[in-house]
Amino acid sequence: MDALKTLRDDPAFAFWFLADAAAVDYGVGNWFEVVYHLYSDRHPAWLRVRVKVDRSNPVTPSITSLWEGAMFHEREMYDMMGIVFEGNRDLRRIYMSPDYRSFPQRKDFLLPDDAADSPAAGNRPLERPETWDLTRLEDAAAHRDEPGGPV
Amino acid sequence: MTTTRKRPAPDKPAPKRAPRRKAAPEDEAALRAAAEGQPRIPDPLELDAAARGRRPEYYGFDIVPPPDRPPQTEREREVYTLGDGEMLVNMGPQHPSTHGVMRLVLKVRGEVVIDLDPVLGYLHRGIEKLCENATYTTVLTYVDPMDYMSAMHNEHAPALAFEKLYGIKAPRRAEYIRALVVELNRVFSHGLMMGFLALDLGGLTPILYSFINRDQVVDMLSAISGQRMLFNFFRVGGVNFDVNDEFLSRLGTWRAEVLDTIEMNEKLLTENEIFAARTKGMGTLTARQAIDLGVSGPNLRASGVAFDVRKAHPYPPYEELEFEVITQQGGDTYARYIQRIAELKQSIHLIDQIVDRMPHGPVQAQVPGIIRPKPGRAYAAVESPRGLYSVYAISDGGPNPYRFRMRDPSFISLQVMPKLMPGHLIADTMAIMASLDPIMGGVDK
Amino acid sequence: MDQGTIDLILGLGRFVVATTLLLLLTVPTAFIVIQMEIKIIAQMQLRYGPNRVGPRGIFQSTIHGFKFLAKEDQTPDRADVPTFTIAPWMVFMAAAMSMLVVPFAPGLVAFDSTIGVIYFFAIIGLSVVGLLIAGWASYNKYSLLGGLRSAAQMVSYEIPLTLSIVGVVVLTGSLSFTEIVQWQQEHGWAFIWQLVGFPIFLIAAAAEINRAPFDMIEADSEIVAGPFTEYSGMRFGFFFFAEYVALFIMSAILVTLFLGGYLAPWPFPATLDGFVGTLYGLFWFFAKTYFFVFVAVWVRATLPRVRVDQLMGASWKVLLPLALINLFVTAIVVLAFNL
Repeated sequence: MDALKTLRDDPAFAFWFLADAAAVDYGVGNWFEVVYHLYSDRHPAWLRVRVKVDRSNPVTPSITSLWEGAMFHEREMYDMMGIVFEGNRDLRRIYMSPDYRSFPQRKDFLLPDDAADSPAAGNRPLERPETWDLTRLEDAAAHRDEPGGPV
Repeated sequence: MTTTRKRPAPDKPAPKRAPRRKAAPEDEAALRAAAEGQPRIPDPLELDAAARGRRPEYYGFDIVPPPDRPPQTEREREVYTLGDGEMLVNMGPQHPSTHGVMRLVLKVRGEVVIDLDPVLGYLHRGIEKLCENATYTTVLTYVDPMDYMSAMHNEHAPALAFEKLYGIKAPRRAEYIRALVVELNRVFSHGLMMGFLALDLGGLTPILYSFINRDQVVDMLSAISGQRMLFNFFRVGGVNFDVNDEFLSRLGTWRAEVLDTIEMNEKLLTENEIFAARTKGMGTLTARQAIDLGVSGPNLRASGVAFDVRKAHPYPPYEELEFEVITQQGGDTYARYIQRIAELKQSIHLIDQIVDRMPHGPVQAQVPGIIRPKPGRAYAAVESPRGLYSVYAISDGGPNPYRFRMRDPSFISLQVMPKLMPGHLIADTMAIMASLDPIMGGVDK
Repeated sequence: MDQGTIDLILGLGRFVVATTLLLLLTVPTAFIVIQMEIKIIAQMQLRYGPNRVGPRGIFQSTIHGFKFLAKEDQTPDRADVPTFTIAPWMVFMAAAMSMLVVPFAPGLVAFDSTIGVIYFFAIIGLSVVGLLIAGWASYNKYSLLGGLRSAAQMVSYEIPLTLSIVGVVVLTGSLSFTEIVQWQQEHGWAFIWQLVGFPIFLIAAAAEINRAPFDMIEADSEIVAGPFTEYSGMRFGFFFFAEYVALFIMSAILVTLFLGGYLAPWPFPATLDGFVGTLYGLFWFFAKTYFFVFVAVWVRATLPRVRVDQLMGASWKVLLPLALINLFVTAIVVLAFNL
């Protein structure tokens, strides 16, 4: 966050345009990454800033105070990956419906075809074990080491 | 949440598939037993059944859109809390002019918009997730229907990103053909925007005139790629086909007529007094705001910021072509419209240059059928008709991209609507939205 | 029976027959106007338009009309049923009944009232009540917005519309359409005398009957279909018909008041005698009327829609003062030259 602020406001860098903000899931047991791409007139290439986020407690500062336009990016990342951006005042689902409980772009979210392999046979997508609830993060962290627990 | 069920480990080979929707009865019983006494997530069908017990609220008049849950965020509370004399108008997802399936919740006092909340996701198909399960070649077929007005641009960025990942370069002739089809695509996209803007203002004819130009271009692109809308023309390391005679003859006819068809529209709109009164000074976006909100493309340039990916971070062959970044100063609906027309003419100019300078040679580099790039990351951005369209791809060495991320410009541009609309009338919200030119296929991915 | 009773019965019979004929006339009129709209806009937009029903698609609008009969007539759950039902009738009858006083040809007028002008504006103004009721009874926000828009717009435009006609009335000294036409036979068409009043009437009439570019009420890109949003089947059909009948009637009134009604233009003899004269008058009347219908269609294909506040502003700030000045000048001219 501070680094991004410096990058934006320091005239030596002047990365004034936030081109992209993407979240990457490195899989169960690893970490999330939030990747920002910045553009500056003074530098020939896109600048890539990668922020590592703990997977069991996916919380990272929001950059909506720097670029308001990061709002939809962050809402999308929250929707798809479940990363919580602290300081974002409108962090809710953007694509999925508000009562949806899962985070579809995580690597442990199985697509319906693959979900046929799951014990629920793909019948009830919302009841699959890997579907978990953001409101029970602490719970999830507590049971992280149990076999079959939600990571 | 604990559970006795086991997930297949992600790295193990997939076990044999159970037939879908036909769990064995004992499985079902075990499932139910396991679910007993546990906090479970309600099934949407059950919720629906529960809801059927009571009389459904009529959506027309007095219902506040998300009624049965508390607001999740500060902002949501702000929008959905009604002051004195205010009401919520739910515009879309089925509305004649929300450009597909966007839903806007407008808070209005009389006809003046106080606040609004775009509700997205009615066209969400999870293309990013699909692409993570597709090979690098087939990804290029999935991205087409995203922003269906600029399918060529959608393919351009992934093709560039995958080439970076794989470490190859398309032949020069392929680069020129890419630029040619991409600029053609831009011409019809901008042309249609003129028509849609007029349609949202109540002018019936310009959209039909736009379609003359659009049909010619689409026929041309169909002649070169074999498809009318979802072209599937780009390949990693080149393009699918070389230009053919039919394409060239159609290009000649089109080039002779295109300026006339555009002028037909311009005569109807640009100097029309009602059109000017409806668009000038409406939805003014300052340069500062535009940068802050991540707006890109013609909308940003209409606010006076000379940022064009083709110049700022040129991808071949744009560094060899001569063009200037056009900007407007107004930042209002009219400026955005004028900007589109100027860029349209610039694209025609670029097409002339590309055709003149088209080099000879192959159109496709040697690539294997299934591409397995080395682990790495690549970011590629192109200037789509709606702005900066970029792809961020991560390879883990396998045949599928590990992560495939698309940044769609119209998705980001929609953020400005709560900033632009308040204070305008309901009639103007439609015009301002049309001038931002969002395509819901791209917004919802 | 004495002569008075016989006259009364004959008069009543004539009135009933004329009314019935006019009501019957509305249906083909609506079909023709809709067909014109469909085909002319298609030509202007460089497309074929409907061309499958009958030769060159000439029965397309007829099929449209019968389609309404075949469709399900739905009433929203929480609509106010009696008013919801009555609204389309009011709008349609307002349009159809105002036809009564229009002289189609010499002697061919259903109800030759001495206060025909007042009757006409009283009746055509009723349609706003119907639209407002429709907007309110539908229990839909878009309908409500449309209904309120219609009320605001029609009330605003009624005033310049009526004031622009007062000029003609002062000039001709009569409130009867027949006499106004006869006056024009002697003194020349009224638009020559009313060079300001005529365009004011043209604009205000377009706004009064919700034609483009003033079709705020059913602005489909903004408020879906305004008061008609919740209507389906023949109820919507009535609104639809009323709209096109109103377009025809406004053109007819425009022609009658300003362009000599059934009088032929200059190189031809103004009227002829006998049955041929009636046909001759009818021909010129319909030719002129449908020319203005064509103009309305042409405008619709060309112009985008104005916004609500611009519409109101144009009425109160431009048209109303102009109409007043026009009336004032006309009155002075009439007094000065003792016309």
